[in-house]
Amino acid sequence: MKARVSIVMGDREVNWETNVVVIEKKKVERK
Amino acid sequence: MPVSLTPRGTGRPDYSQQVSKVALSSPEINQYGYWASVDLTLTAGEEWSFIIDKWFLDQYDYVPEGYRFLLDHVEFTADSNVLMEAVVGRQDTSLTVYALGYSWGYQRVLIEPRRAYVFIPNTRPVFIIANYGDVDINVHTNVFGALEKVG
Repeated sequence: MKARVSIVMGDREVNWETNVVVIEKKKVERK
Repeated sequence: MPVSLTPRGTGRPDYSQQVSKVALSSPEINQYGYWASVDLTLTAGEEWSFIIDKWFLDQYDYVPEGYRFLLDHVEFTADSNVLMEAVVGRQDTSLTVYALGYSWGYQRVLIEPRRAYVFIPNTRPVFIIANYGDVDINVHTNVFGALEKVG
């Protein structure tokens, strides 16, 4: 999975793509 | 002791000699607008915690020294009308997560603090999203904030 990140520093915008890291997965009880 | 006040005239005030000053709102000079978007497919009946790798300035996992991160708001939207629960947390380098805000919603969850959540150096945001529905959902996450140079 990827994340797209943007930052505006002064008069310039920088964009890049980086990884999304899932650090935990667990089951939930249905509501 | 009595205090004497200088008379300021009577009737309507005369502003003709007053010079107006206008303040235009603008980002602080040391703040950088910051946003990220994430797409993920969340399995039915599961809760996922995730972080964005190398998020800060494209090289740091945690807020770097000399900066702080102000998290303005986070929005989760899904492609099915299912109940979701979202949490924004703060994680430090010991990997302990402190929850900062919770919210529920069908198909859309918004976490929008009145004051931004502040992340000091060596901490980072963690996003937790749960799918209480019976179907897998595609979740889009938008994160908005500002990175601020301090000191």
